[in-house]
Amino acid sequence: MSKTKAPDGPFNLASLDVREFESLFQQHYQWLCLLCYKINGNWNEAEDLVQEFFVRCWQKRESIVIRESWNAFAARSVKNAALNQLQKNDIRHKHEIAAQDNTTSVNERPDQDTGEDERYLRLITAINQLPEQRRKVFLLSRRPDLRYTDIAAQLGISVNTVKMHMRLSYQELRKVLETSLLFFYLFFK
Amino acid sequence: MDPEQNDIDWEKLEGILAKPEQERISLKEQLLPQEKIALEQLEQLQADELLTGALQLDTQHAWNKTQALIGGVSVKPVRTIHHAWKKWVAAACFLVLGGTAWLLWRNRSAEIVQGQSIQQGMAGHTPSAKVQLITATGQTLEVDSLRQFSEKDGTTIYLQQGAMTYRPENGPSVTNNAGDALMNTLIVPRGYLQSLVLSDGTKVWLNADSRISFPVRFRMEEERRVSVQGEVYFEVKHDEQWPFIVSVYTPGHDTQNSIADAEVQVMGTSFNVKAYNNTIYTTLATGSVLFRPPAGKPLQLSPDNQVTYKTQTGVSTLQKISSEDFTSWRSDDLVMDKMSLAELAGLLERRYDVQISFSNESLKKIEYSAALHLTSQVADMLENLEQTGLVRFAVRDKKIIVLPFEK
Repeated sequence: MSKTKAPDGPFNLASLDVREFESLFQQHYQWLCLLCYKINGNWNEAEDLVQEFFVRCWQKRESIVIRESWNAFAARSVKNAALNQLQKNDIRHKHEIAAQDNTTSVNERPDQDTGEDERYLRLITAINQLPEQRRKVFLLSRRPDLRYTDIAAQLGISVNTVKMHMRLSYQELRKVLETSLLFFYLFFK
Repeated sequence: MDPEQNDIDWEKLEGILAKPEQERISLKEQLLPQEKIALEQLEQLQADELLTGALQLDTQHAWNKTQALIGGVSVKPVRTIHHAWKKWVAAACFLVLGGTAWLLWRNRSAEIVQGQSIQQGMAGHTPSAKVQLITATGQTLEVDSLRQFSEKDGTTIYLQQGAMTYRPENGPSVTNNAGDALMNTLIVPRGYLQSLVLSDGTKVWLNADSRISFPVRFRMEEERRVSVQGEVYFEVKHDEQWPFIVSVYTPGHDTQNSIADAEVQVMGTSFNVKAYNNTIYTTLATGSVLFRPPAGKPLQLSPDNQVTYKTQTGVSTLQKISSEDFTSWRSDDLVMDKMSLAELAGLLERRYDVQISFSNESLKKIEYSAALHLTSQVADMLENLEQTGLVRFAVRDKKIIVLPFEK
Protein backbone atom coordinates (compact mmCIF):
# COMPACT_ATOMS: atom_id res chain seq x y z
CA MET A 1 0.00 0.00 0.00
CA SER A 2 2.72 2.45 0.90
CA LYS A 3 4.03 2.36 -2.64
CA THR A 4 0.87 3.94 -3.98
CA LYS A 5 0.51 6.65 -1.38
CA ALA A 6 0.82 9.55 -3.82
CA PRO A 7 4.57 9.23 -4.10
CA ASP A 8 6.52 12.45 -3.98
CA GLY A 9 9.96 11.21 -4.84
CA PRO A 10 11.35 9.26 -7.81
CA PHE A 11 9.03 6.48 -8.59
CA ASN A 12 9.09 3.18 -10.39
CA LEU A 13 5.89 2.21 -12.22
CA ALA A 14 7.18 -1.23 -13.10
CA SER A 15 7.14 -2.26 -9.44
CA LEU A 16 3.35 -1.89 -9.17
CA ASP A 17 0.92 -4.76 -9.45
CA VAL A 18 -2.57 -4.21 -10.85
CA ARG A 19 -4.08 -3.48 -7.47
CA GLU A 20 -1.50 -0.89 -6.61
CA PHE A 21 -1.92 0.61 -10.03
CA GLU A 22 -5.66 0.75 -9.44
CA SER A 23 -5.26 2.69 -6.23
CA LEU A 24 -2.93 5.09 -7.99
CA PHE A 25 -5.71 5.54 -10.53
CA GLN A 26 -8.39 5.98 -7.86
CA GLN A 27 -6.39 8.61 -6.04
CA HIS A 28 -5.45 10.72 -9.04
CA TYR A 29 -8.20 10.31 -11.60
CA GLN A 30 -10.44 13.25 -10.68
CA TRP A 31 -7.49 15.51 -10.12
CA LEU A 32 -5.87 14.77 -13.48
CA CYS A 33 -9.23 15.21 -15.24
CA LEU A 34 -9.51 18.61 -13.58
CA LEU A 35 -6.11 19.61 -14.94
CA CYS A 36 -7.15 18.59 -18.46
CA TYR A 37 -10.46 20.37 -18.14
CA LYS A 38 -8.65 23.56 -17.26
CA ILE A 39 -7.05 23.40 -20.69
CA ASN A 40 -9.75 21.97 -22.96
CA GLY A 41 -12.93 22.87 -21.08
CA ASN A 42 -14.57 19.53 -21.80
CA TRP A 43 -15.08 16.88 -19.11
CA ASN A 44 -15.68 14.02 -21.54
CA GLU A 45 -12.49 14.67 -23.43
CA ALA A 46 -10.65 15.20 -20.18
CA GLU A 47 -11.78 11.78 -18.97
CA ASP A 48 -10.72 10.10 -22.20
CA LEU A 49 -7.30 11.70 -22.08
CA VAL A 50 -6.67 10.68 -18.50
CA GLN A 51 -7.80 7.11 -19.13
CA GLU A 52 -5.51 6.94 -22.16
CA PHE A 53 -2.69 8.26 -20.03
CA PHE A 54 -3.17 5.47 -17.49
CA VAL A 55 -3.40 2.83 -20.20
CA ARG A 56 -0.12 4.12 -21.65
CA CYS A 57 1.50 4.11 -18.23
CA TRP A 58 0.52 0.51 -17.65
CA GLN A 59 1.51 -0.75 -21.06
CA LYS A 60 4.87 1.00 -21.00
CA ARG A 61 5.53 0.69 -17.29
CA GLU A 62 8.75 -1.23 -17.90
CA SER A 63 10.26 1.52 -20.00
CA ILE A 64 8.89 4.70 -18.43
CA VAL A 65 11.47 6.40 -16.26
CA ILE A 66 10.06 8.97 -13.87
CA ARG A 67 12.79 11.24 -12.58
CA GLU A 68 10.52 13.76 -10.91
CA SER A 69 7.65 12.86 -8.55
CA TRP A 70 4.68 10.87 -9.81
CA ASN A 71 2.42 13.87 -9.25
CA ALA A 72 4.58 16.17 -11.34
CA PHE A 73 5.01 13.54 -14.05
CA ALA A 74 1.29 12.75 -14.26
CA ALA A 75 0.25 16.41 -14.25
CA ARG A 76 2.74 17.31 -16.96
CA SER A 77 1.77 14.31 -19.11
CA VAL A 78 -1.97 14.90 -19.11
CA LYS A 79 -1.61 18.64 -19.62
CA ASN A 80 0.61 18.05 -22.61
CA ALA A 81 -1.87 15.54 -23.95
CA ALA A 82 -4.67 18.08 -23.56
CA LEU A 83 -2.64 20.79 -25.29
CA ASN A 84 -1.67 18.47 -28.13
CA GLN A 85 -5.24 17.48 -28.64
CA LEU A 86 -6.31 21.08 -28.71
CA GLN A 87 -3.70 21.77 -31.34
CA LYS A 88 -4.89 18.87 -33.42
CA ASN A 89 -8.55 19.73 -33.03
CA ASP A 90 -8.46 23.15 -34.55
CA ILE A 91 -5.55 25.34 -35.46
CA ARG A 92 -7.65 28.46 -35.51
CA HIS A 93 -9.06 27.68 -32.14
CA LYS A 94 -5.54 27.36 -30.86
CA HIS A 95 -4.76 30.92 -31.88
CA GLU A 96 -7.72 32.21 -29.99
CA ILE A 97 -6.57 30.41 -26.90
CA ALA A 98 -3.08 31.79 -27.33
CA ALA A 99 -4.49 35.31 -27.60
CA GLN A 100 -6.46 34.78 -24.42
CA ASP A 101 -3.39 33.45 -22.74
CA ASN A 102 -1.55 36.68 -23.38
CA THR A 103 -4.13 38.73 -21.61
CA THR A 104 -4.25 36.49 -18.60
CA SER A 105 -0.61 35.60 -18.44
CA VAL A 106 -0.49 36.43 -14.73
CA ASN A 107 -2.35 33.19 -14.07
CA GLU A 108 0.09 31.22 -16.12
CA ARG A 109 3.08 31.83 -13.95
CA PRO A 110 4.48 28.39 -13.43
CA ASP A 111 4.88 28.54 -9.66
CA GLN A 112 1.37 29.73 -9.08
CA ASP A 113 0.06 27.12 -11.45
CA THR A 114 1.73 24.19 -9.73
CA GLY A 115 0.68 25.57 -6.38
CA GLU A 116 -2.92 25.62 -7.47
CA ASP A 117 -2.69 22.15 -8.99
CA GLU A 118 -1.33 20.78 -5.76
CA ARG A 119 -4.04 22.50 -3.81
CA TYR A 120 -6.67 20.74 -5.91
CA LEU A 121 -5.03 17.39 -5.35
CA ARG A 122 -5.03 17.95 -1.62
CA LEU A 123 -8.65 19.09 -1.63
CA ILE A 124 -9.90 16.18 -3.72
CA THR A 125 -7.91 13.73 -1.63
CA ALA A 126 -9.25 15.22 1.57
CA ILE A 127 -12.84 15.08 0.32
CA ASN A 128 -12.50 11.50 -0.87
CA GLN A 129 -11.03 10.54 2.47
CA LEU A 130 -13.98 11.85 4.45
CA PRO A 131 -15.98 9.06 6.08
CA GLU A 132 -18.43 7.58 3.58
CA GLN A 133 -21.64 9.18 4.85
CA ARG A 134 -19.98 12.54 5.40
CA ARG A 135 -18.57 12.46 1.90
CA LYS A 136 -22.03 11.73 0.50
CA VAL A 137 -23.49 14.65 2.40
CA PHE A 138 -20.72 16.93 1.25
CA LEU A 139 -21.02 15.93 -2.40
CA LEU A 140 -24.78 16.43 -2.35
CA SER A 141 -24.29 19.83 -0.73
CA ARG A 142 -22.32 20.90 -3.81
CA ARG A 143 -25.44 20.66 -5.90
CA PRO A 144 -27.09 24.07 -5.96
CA ASP A 145 -30.57 22.57 -6.30
CA LEU A 146 -30.42 20.67 -3.01
CA ARG A 147 -31.04 22.19 0.40
CA TYR A 148 -30.11 20.54 3.68
CA THR A 149 -33.65 19.28 4.10
CA ASP A 150 -33.44 17.64 0.64
CA ILE A 151 -30.13 16.00 1.50
CA ALA A 152 -31.53 14.76 4.79
CA ALA A 153 -34.54 13.25 3.03
CA GLN A 154 -32.43 11.66 0.33
CA LEU A 155 -30.10 9.96 2.79
CA GLY A 156 -32.76 9.19 5.36
CA ILE A 157 -31.06 11.14 8.15
CA SER A 158 -32.05 14.19 10.17
CA VAL A 159 -31.26 17.75 9.14
CA ASN A 160 -29.15 18.11 12.26
CA THR A 161 -27.04 15.17 11.19
CA VAL A 162 -26.54 16.80 7.80
CA LYS A 163 -25.41 19.98 9.55
CA MET A 164 -23.07 18.01 11.75
CA HIS A 165 -21.50 16.33 8.72
CA MET A 166 -21.12 19.65 6.94
CA ARG A 167 -19.49 21.26 9.96
CA LEU A 168 -17.00 18.41 10.28
CA SER A 169 -16.32 18.42 6.53
CA TYR A 170 -15.55 22.13 6.52
CA GLN A 171 -13.27 21.78 9.49
CA GLU A 172 -11.37 19.03 7.75
CA LEU A 173 -11.11 20.84 4.42
CA ARG A 174 -10.15 24.04 6.11
CA LYS A 175 -6.86 22.54 7.13
CA VAL A 176 -6.13 22.01 3.45
CA LEU A 177 -7.29 25.47 2.44
CA GLU A 178 -5.28 27.16 5.15
CA THR A 179 -1.95 26.58 3.45
CA SER A 180 -3.17 27.30 -0.06
CA LEU A 181 -4.78 30.59 0.91
CA LEU A 182 -1.32 31.82 1.77
CA PHE A 183 -0.35 31.26 -1.81
CA PHE A 184 -3.35 33.13 -2.97
CA TYR A 185 -2.51 36.14 -0.86
CA LEU A 186 1.11 36.17 -1.93
CA PHE A 187 0.12 36.70 -5.50
CA PHE A 188 -2.89 38.87 -5.34
CA LYS A 189 -2.80 40.94 -2.22
CA MET B 1 -7.01 20.55 17.68
CA ASP B 2 -7.26 24.26 17.57
CA PRO B 3 -10.17 25.20 19.83
CA GLU B 4 -10.92 28.36 17.89
CA GLN B 5 -11.40 26.43 14.72
CA ASN B 6 -14.07 24.30 16.28
CA ASP B 7 -16.02 27.35 17.35
CA ILE B 8 -16.73 28.48 13.80
CA ASP B 9 -20.47 28.59 13.15
CA TRP B 10 -20.43 27.29 9.59
CA GLU B 11 -24.15 27.43 9.25
CA LYS B 12 -24.10 31.16 9.96
CA LEU B 13 -21.35 31.64 7.40
CA GLU B 14 -23.25 29.68 4.78
CA GLY B 15 -26.24 31.87 5.53
CA ILE B 16 -24.18 34.99 4.94
CA LEU B 17 -22.90 33.69 1.62
CA ALA B 18 -26.44 33.05 0.46
CA LYS B 19 -27.37 36.71 1.01
CA PRO B 20 -27.28 39.42 -1.70
CA GLU B 21 -23.92 41.12 -2.09
CA GLN B 22 -24.72 44.38 -0.24
CA GLU B 23 -25.95 42.61 2.84
CA ARG B 24 -23.11 40.10 2.63
CA ILE B 25 -20.48 42.83 2.81
CA SER B 26 -22.00 44.49 5.84
CA LEU B 27 -22.50 41.20 7.64
CA LYS B 28 -18.91 40.28 6.93
CA GLU B 29 -17.73 43.46 8.66
CA GLN B 30 -19.28 42.27 11.92
CA LEU B 31 -17.45 38.96 11.95
CA LEU B 32 -14.53 38.06 14.18
CA PRO B 33 -11.16 37.89 12.39
CA GLN B 34 -11.01 34.08 12.32
CA GLU B 35 -14.59 33.98 11.09
CA LYS B 36 -13.68 36.28 8.25
CA ILE B 37 -10.95 33.94 7.14
CA ALA B 38 -13.28 30.99 7.39
CA LEU B 39 -15.86 32.84 5.33
CA GLU B 40 -13.34 33.48 2.59
CA GLN B 41 -12.32 29.86 2.59
CA LEU B 42 -15.90 28.77 2.38
CA GLU B 43 -16.56 31.19 -0.45
CA GLN B 44 -13.56 29.88 -2.31
CA LEU B 45 -14.69 26.30 -1.85
CA GLN B 46 -18.25 26.94 -2.90
CA ALA B 47 -17.41 29.00 -5.97
CA ASP B 48 -14.96 26.44 -7.30
CA GLU B 49 -16.62 24.97 -10.37
CA LEU B 50 -13.54 23.02 -11.35
CA LEU B 51 -13.62 21.20 -8.06
CA THR B 52 -17.36 20.57 -8.21
CA GLY B 53 -17.02 19.17 -11.72
CA ALA B 54 -14.11 16.92 -10.87
CA LEU B 55 -15.83 15.48 -7.80
CA GLN B 56 -18.76 14.38 -9.91
CA LEU B 57 -16.62 12.15 -12.12
CA ASP B 58 -17.23 8.46 -11.56
CA THR B 59 -13.78 7.14 -10.79
CA GLN B 60 -14.91 3.54 -10.39
CA HIS B 61 -16.59 3.49 -13.77
CA ALA B 62 -13.52 5.06 -15.35
CA TRP B 63 -11.29 2.45 -13.76
CA ASN B 64 -13.46 -0.36 -15.08
CA LYS B 65 -13.10 1.03 -18.56
CA THR B 66 -9.36 1.47 -18.20
CA GLN B 67 -8.91 -1.95 -16.70
CA ALA B 68 -10.73 -3.44 -19.65
CA LEU B 69 -8.17 -1.86 -21.93
CA ILE B 70 -5.13 -2.95 -19.99
CA GLY B 71 -6.45 -6.34 -18.90
CA GLY B 72 -6.77 -8.12 -22.23
CA VAL B 73 -3.59 -10.07 -22.82
CA SER B 74 -5.00 -13.60 -23.12
CA VAL B 75 -4.70 -15.99 -26.07
CA LYS B 76 -7.01 -14.17 -28.41
CA PRO B 77 -9.82 -12.70 -26.42
CA VAL B 78 -12.94 -11.69 -28.23
CA ARG B 79 -12.89 -8.56 -26.17
CA THR B 80 -12.58 -7.79 -22.52
CA ILE B 81 -15.57 -6.00 -21.22
CA HIS B 82 -16.45 -4.94 -17.73
CA HIS B 83 -19.57 -4.29 -15.69
CA ALA B 84 -22.77 -2.48 -16.51
CA TRP B 85 -21.90 -1.24 -19.96
CA LYS B 86 -20.32 -4.51 -21.05
CA LYS B 87 -23.61 -6.06 -22.00
CA TRP B 88 -24.32 -3.25 -24.39
CA VAL B 89 -20.86 -3.31 -25.85
CA ALA B 90 -21.11 -7.06 -26.25
CA ALA B 91 -24.47 -6.74 -27.93
CA ALA B 92 -23.12 -4.10 -30.27
CA CYS B 93 -20.04 -6.16 -31.08
CA PHE B 94 -22.13 -9.18 -31.83
CA LEU B 95 -24.24 -7.11 -34.17
CA VAL B 96 -21.20 -5.80 -35.98
CA LEU B 97 -19.41 -9.12 -36.04
CA GLY B 98 -22.69 -10.78 -36.87
CA GLY B 99 -22.90 -8.84 -40.11
CA THR B 100 -19.41 -9.72 -41.27
CA ALA B 101 -19.61 -13.27 -40.07
CA TRP B 102 -22.83 -13.74 -41.95
CA LEU B 103 -21.10 -12.85 -45.20
CA LEU B 104 -18.29 -15.24 -44.41
CA TRP B 105 -20.80 -17.84 -43.40
CA ARG B 106 -22.64 -17.60 -46.70
CA ASN B 107 -19.45 -18.16 -48.65
CA ARG B 108 -18.46 -20.98 -46.43
CA SER B 109 -21.68 -22.87 -46.10
CA ALA B 110 -21.15 -24.59 -49.43
CA GLU B 111 -17.91 -26.06 -48.11
CA ILE B 112 -19.49 -27.80 -45.15
CA VAL B 113 -20.25 -31.14 -46.59
CA GLN B 114 -19.19 -33.64 -43.98
CA GLY B 115 -21.47 -32.26 -41.27
CA GLN B 116 -25.06 -31.04 -41.40
CA SER B 117 -25.76 -27.39 -40.66
CA ILE B 118 -26.15 -26.67 -36.98
CA GLN B 119 -29.81 -25.81 -37.29
CA GLN B 120 -30.64 -29.00 -39.20
CA GLY B 121 -28.44 -31.14 -37.01
CA MET B 122 -29.99 -29.93 -33.79
CA ALA B 123 -33.56 -29.64 -35.06
CA GLY B 124 -36.08 -31.05 -32.61
CA HIS B 125 -33.49 -31.47 -29.87
CA THR B 126 -34.96 -31.65 -26.37
CA PRO B 127 -33.31 -32.60 -23.09
CA SER B 128 -33.47 -36.32 -22.39
CA ALA B 129 -34.78 -36.15 -18.81
CA LYS B 130 -37.35 -33.98 -17.06
CA VAL B 131 -37.34 -32.09 -13.77
CA GLN B 132 -38.30 -34.53 -11.03
CA LEU B 133 -39.53 -34.32 -7.48
CA ILE B 134 -38.93 -37.17 -5.06
CA THR B 135 -41.55 -37.06 -2.32
CA ALA B 136 -41.25 -38.11 1.30
CA THR B 137 -42.62 -41.56 0.46
CA GLY B 138 -40.09 -42.02 -2.33
CA GLN B 139 -42.54 -41.43 -5.14
CA THR B 140 -41.12 -39.71 -8.25
CA LEU B 141 -43.20 -36.98 -9.88
CA GLU B 142 -42.55 -35.01 -13.05
CA VAL B 143 -42.70 -31.35 -12.16
CA ASP B 144 -44.03 -29.94 -15.45
CA SER B 145 -47.12 -32.15 -15.25
CA LEU B 146 -47.59 -31.46 -11.55
CA ARG B 147 -50.66 -29.37 -10.86
CA GLN B 148 -50.94 -29.65 -7.16
CA PHE B 149 -49.78 -32.20 -4.67
CA SER B 150 -50.17 -32.60 -0.92
CA GLU B 151 -47.57 -34.06 1.39
CA LYS B 152 -48.55 -36.21 4.36
CA ASP B 153 -48.35 -33.30 6.77
CA GLY B 154 -50.81 -31.25 4.76
CA THR B 155 -48.30 -29.03 2.99
CA THR B 156 -49.52 -28.22 -0.50
CA ILE B 157 -47.07 -28.02 -3.35
CA TYR B 158 -48.03 -26.25 -6.53
CA LEU B 159 -46.53 -24.42 -9.46
CA GLN B 160 -46.80 -20.66 -9.28
CA GLN B 161 -45.39 -18.78 -12.27
CA GLY B 162 -43.07 -21.68 -12.92
CA ALA B 163 -41.76 -21.84 -9.35
CA MET B 164 -42.55 -24.89 -7.23
CA THR B 165 -44.11 -23.44 -4.13
CA TYR B 166 -44.48 -25.06 -0.72
CA ARG B 167 -47.29 -23.70 1.38
CA PRO B 168 -48.00 -25.11 4.83
CA GLU B 169 -51.70 -25.72 5.43
CA ASN B 170 -52.00 -24.09 8.81
CA GLY B 171 -49.99 -21.18 10.10
CA PRO B 172 -46.24 -20.78 9.80
CA SER B 173 -43.96 -23.61 8.92
CA VAL B 174 -43.97 -25.41 12.28
CA THR B 175 -44.25 -29.18 12.39
CA ASN B 176 -45.09 -31.50 15.21
CA ASN B 177 -41.75 -32.24 16.73
CA ALA B 178 -42.04 -36.00 16.72
CA GLY B 179 -39.84 -37.97 14.35
CA ASP B 180 -37.87 -36.80 11.38
CA ALA B 181 -39.08 -34.02 9.15
CA LEU B 182 -40.53 -35.06 5.80
CA MET B 183 -37.86 -34.58 3.16
CA ASN B 184 -38.30 -33.82 -0.52
CA THR B 185 -35.66 -33.80 -3.24
CA LEU B 186 -35.88 -31.77 -6.42
CA ILE B 187 -33.72 -32.99 -9.28
CA VAL B 188 -33.05 -30.63 -12.17
CA PRO B 189 -31.35 -32.51 -15.02
CA ARG B 190 -29.28 -31.07 -17.83
CA GLY B 191 -31.27 -28.79 -20.08
CA TYR B 192 -33.45 -27.08 -17.43
CA LEU B 193 -33.55 -24.33 -14.86
CA GLN B 194 -36.07 -24.56 -12.01
CA SER B 195 -37.08 -22.26 -9.19
CA LEU B 196 -38.59 -23.17 -5.87
CA VAL B 197 -40.14 -21.43 -2.86
CA LEU B 198 -39.57 -23.24 0.43
CA SER B 199 -42.11 -23.35 3.25
CA ASP B 200 -40.35 -20.49 5.10
CA GLY B 201 -40.54 -18.25 2.02
CA THR B 202 -36.91 -18.71 1.02
CA LYS B 203 -36.51 -18.54 -2.77
CA VAL B 204 -34.25 -20.98 -4.55
CA TRP B 205 -33.08 -21.14 -8.17
CA LEU B 206 -31.49 -24.32 -9.46
CA ASN B 207 -29.23 -24.32 -12.48
CA ALA B 208 -29.13 -27.28 -14.88
CA ASP B 209 -27.71 -30.54 -13.48
CA SER B 210 -28.38 -29.62 -9.84
CA ARG B 211 -30.42 -30.93 -6.96
CA ILE B 212 -31.65 -29.86 -3.54
CA SER B 213 -32.98 -31.85 -0.56
CA PHE B 214 -35.07 -29.95 1.94
CA PRO B 215 -37.70 -30.48 4.63
CA VAL B 216 -41.26 -30.01 3.44
CA ARG B 217 -41.64 -27.84 6.53
CA PHE B 218 -38.77 -26.51 8.53
CA ARG B 219 -38.85 -27.64 12.11
CA MET B 220 -38.65 -24.49 14.16
CA GLU B 221 -36.68 -25.99 16.99
CA GLU B 222 -33.34 -26.11 15.26
CA GLU B 223 -31.67 -24.47 12.30
CA ARG B 224 -33.13 -24.56 8.80
CA ARG B 225 -31.01 -26.96 6.80
CA VAL B 226 -30.97 -27.93 3.13
CA SER B 227 -28.50 -29.92 1.01
CA VAL B 228 -27.47 -29.02 -2.52
CA GLN B 229 -25.42 -30.23 -5.44
CA GLY B 230 -24.59 -28.36 -8.66
CA GLU B 231 -25.35 -24.64 -8.79
CA VAL B 232 -28.02 -23.02 -6.65
CA TYR B 233 -28.91 -19.40 -5.87
CA PHE B 234 -30.71 -18.57 -2.62
CA GLU B 235 -32.68 -15.62 -1.37
CA VAL B 236 -33.04 -16.62 2.23
CA LYS B 237 -36.00 -15.38 4.24
CA HIS B 238 -34.55 -13.46 7.13
CA ASP B 239 -35.15 -15.05 10.53
CA GLU B 240 -32.59 -14.36 13.22
CA GLN B 241 -33.81 -17.14 15.47
CA TRP B 242 -33.45 -19.90 12.94
CA PRO B 243 -30.18 -19.82 11.06
CA PHE B 244 -30.28 -21.20 7.53
CA ILE B 245 -27.58 -23.70 6.67
CA VAL B 246 -26.75 -25.03 3.23
CA SER B 247 -24.77 -28.26 3.05
CA VAL B 248 -22.86 -28.43 -0.20
CA TYR B 249 -22.08 -31.76 -1.86
CA THR B 250 -19.76 -32.25 -4.81
CA PRO B 251 -20.86 -34.73 -7.49
CA GLY B 252 -20.95 -38.37 -6.49
CA HIS B 253 -21.79 -37.58 -2.86
CA ASP B 254 -25.29 -38.48 -1.76
CA THR B 255 -27.12 -35.41 -0.44
CA GLN B 256 -29.13 -37.50 2.02
CA ASN B 257 -26.74 -40.03 3.44
CA SER B 258 -23.17 -38.76 3.38
CA ILE B 259 -21.26 -35.95 5.06
CA ALA B 260 -21.32 -32.58 3.34
CA ASP B 261 -18.19 -31.29 1.61
CA ALA B 262 -18.77 -27.85 3.08
CA GLU B 263 -21.47 -25.77 4.68
CA VAL B 264 -22.70 -22.23 4.23
CA GLN B 265 -24.35 -20.61 7.22
CA VAL B 266 -26.65 -17.80 6.33
CA MET B 267 -27.93 -14.70 8.04
CA GLY B 268 -30.80 -13.59 5.76
CA THR B 269 -29.18 -13.01 2.48
CA SER B 270 -28.88 -13.81 -1.23
CA PHE B 271 -26.01 -15.88 -2.47
CA ASN B 272 -24.93 -18.49 -4.98
CA VAL B 273 -23.22 -21.84 -4.47
CA LYS B 274 -21.70 -23.79 -7.31
CA ALA B 275 -20.25 -27.27 -6.96
CA TYR B 276 -20.09 -29.02 -10.32
CA ASN B 277 -16.69 -30.53 -9.67
CA ASN B 278 -14.12 -30.59 -6.88
CA THR B 279 -14.26 -26.84 -6.48
CA ILE B 280 -17.02 -25.17 -4.49
CA TYR B 281 -17.71 -21.51 -5.30
CA THR B 282 -19.74 -19.47 -2.85
CA THR B 283 -20.69 -16.00 -4.06
CA LEU B 284 -22.47 -13.46 -1.89
CA ALA B 285 -24.83 -10.90 -3.46
CA THR B 286 -26.35 -9.27 -0.36
CA GLY B 287 -26.23 -9.71 3.40
CA SER B 288 -23.67 -11.92 5.04
CA VAL B 289 -22.80 -15.62 5.08
CA LEU B 290 -20.28 -17.84 6.79
CA PHE B 291 -18.50 -20.45 4.69
CA ARG B 292 -17.53 -23.51 6.73
CA PRO B 293 -15.05 -25.96 5.26
CA PRO B 294 -14.98 -29.32 7.06
CA ALA B 295 -11.69 -28.37 8.69
CA GLY B 296 -10.16 -25.00 9.43
CA LYS B 297 -11.53 -21.57 10.12
CA PRO B 298 -14.91 -20.49 8.74
CA LEU B 299 -14.76 -17.55 6.34
CA GLN B 300 -17.11 -14.60 6.60
CA LEU B 301 -18.24 -13.18 3.26
CA SER B 302 -19.33 -9.62 2.56
CA PRO B 303 -21.34 -8.68 -0.53
CA ASP B 304 -19.41 -9.22 -3.77
CA ASN B 305 -17.06 -11.67 -2.10
CA GLN B 306 -16.45 -15.12 -3.45
CA VAL B 307 -14.86 -18.08 -1.70
CA THR B 308 -13.25 -20.75 -3.84
CA TYR B 309 -12.80 -23.98 -1.94
CA LYS B 310 -10.90 -26.95 -3.34
CA THR B 311 -12.25 -30.11 -1.75
CA GLN B 312 -9.14 -32.11 -2.62
CA THR B 313 -6.60 -29.78 -1.04
CA GLY B 314 -8.89 -28.13 1.50
CA VAL B 315 -7.63 -24.71 0.46
CA SER B 316 -10.11 -21.83 0.44
CA THR B 317 -9.45 -18.39 -1.01
CA LEU B 318 -11.53 -15.26 -0.76
CA GLN B 319 -11.69 -12.73 -3.56
CA LYS B 320 -13.66 -9.68 -4.58
CA ILE B 321 -15.85 -10.08 -7.64
CA SER B 322 -18.98 -8.61 -9.15
CA SER B 323 -21.65 -10.95 -7.79
CA GLU B 324 -24.04 -10.06 -10.58
CA ASP B 325 -21.77 -11.84 -13.03
CA PHE B 326 -22.10 -15.05 -11.06
CA THR B 327 -25.83 -14.97 -10.43
CA SER B 328 -27.18 -13.80 -13.78
CA TRP B 329 -27.51 -17.41 -14.95
CA ARG B 330 -30.99 -17.33 -13.41
CA SER B 331 -32.14 -15.17 -16.30
CA ASP B 332 -29.91 -17.09 -18.75
CA ASP B 333 -27.43 -14.24 -18.97
CA LEU B 334 -23.85 -15.34 -19.11
CA VAL B 335 -20.94 -13.10 -18.23
CA MET B 336 -17.59 -14.51 -19.28
CA ASP B 337 -14.40 -13.07 -17.95
CA LYS B 338 -11.61 -14.93 -19.71
CA MET B 339 -13.66 -18.10 -19.71
CA SER B 340 -11.99 -20.91 -21.62
CA LEU B 341 -13.90 -22.56 -24.43
CA ALA B 342 -13.56 -25.83 -22.49
CA GLU B 343 -15.41 -24.33 -19.53
CA LEU B 344 -17.99 -22.71 -21.80
CA ALA B 345 -18.57 -26.06 -23.53
CA GLY B 346 -19.17 -27.72 -20.15
CA LEU B 347 -21.67 -25.02 -19.30
CA LEU B 348 -23.52 -25.42 -22.61
CA GLU B 349 -23.58 -29.19 -22.19
CA ARG B 350 -25.39 -28.74 -18.90
CA ARG B 351 -27.65 -25.95 -20.00
CA TYR B 352 -28.85 -27.64 -23.21
CA ASP B 353 -28.20 -31.30 -22.42
CA VAL B 354 -25.93 -31.72 -25.42
CA GLN B 355 -22.54 -33.33 -26.02
CA ILE B 356 -19.69 -31.20 -27.23
CA SER B 357 -16.31 -32.53 -28.32
CA PHE B 358 -13.22 -30.79 -29.64
CA SER B 359 -11.54 -31.69 -32.91
CA ASN B 360 -8.34 -30.21 -31.59
CA GLU B 361 -7.21 -29.86 -27.98
CA SER B 362 -5.76 -26.39 -28.51
CA LEU B 363 -9.25 -25.03 -29.18
CA LYS B 364 -10.14 -25.63 -25.54
CA LYS B 365 -7.76 -22.88 -24.52
CA ILE B 366 -9.46 -20.13 -26.50
CA GLU B 367 -10.74 -17.53 -24.06
CA TYR B 368 -13.89 -15.49 -24.20
CA SER B 369 -14.67 -12.27 -22.40
CA ALA B 370 -18.14 -11.07 -23.19
CA ALA B 371 -21.69 -10.98 -21.94
CA LEU B 372 -24.32 -12.87 -23.83
CA HIS B 373 -27.79 -14.20 -23.46
CA LEU B 374 -28.32 -17.96 -23.63
CA THR B 375 -30.89 -18.40 -26.36
CA SER B 376 -33.58 -21.02 -25.93
CA GLN B 377 -32.25 -23.13 -28.80
CA VAL B 378 -28.70 -24.43 -28.63
CA ALA B 379 -28.31 -24.04 -32.42
CA ASP B 380 -28.84 -20.26 -32.18
CA MET B 381 -26.30 -20.11 -29.40
CA LEU B 382 -23.68 -21.97 -31.42
CA GLU B 383 -24.28 -19.72 -34.39
CA ASN B 384 -23.71 -16.68 -32.19
CA LEU B 385 -20.44 -18.14 -31.04
CA GLU B 386 -19.37 -18.84 -34.62
CA GLN B 387 -19.81 -15.16 -35.30
CA THR B 388 -16.85 -14.41 -33.09
CA GLY B 389 -14.72 -15.87 -35.86
CA LEU B 390 -12.67 -18.10 -33.59
CA VAL B 391 -14.30 -21.48 -34.03
CA ARG B 392 -17.05 -23.15 -35.97
CA PHE B 393 -19.29 -26.07 -35.10
CA ALA B 394 -20.43 -29.17 -36.91
CA VAL B 395 -23.13 -31.60 -35.83
CA ARG B 396 -22.98 -35.36 -36.38
CA ASP B 397 -25.63 -37.61 -34.85
CA LYS B 398 -26.77 -34.75 -32.59
CA LYS B 399 -23.24 -34.50 -31.24
CA ILE B 400 -21.56 -31.12 -31.52
CA ILE B 401 -17.97 -30.90 -32.69
CA VAL B 402 -15.82 -27.80 -32.28
CA LEU B 403 -13.62 -27.09 -35.31
CA PRO B 404 -11.05 -24.40 -35.99
CA PHE B 405 -12.49 -21.52 -37.93
CA GLU B 406 -10.01 -21.62 -40.81
CA LYS B 407 -10.84 -24.84 -42.68
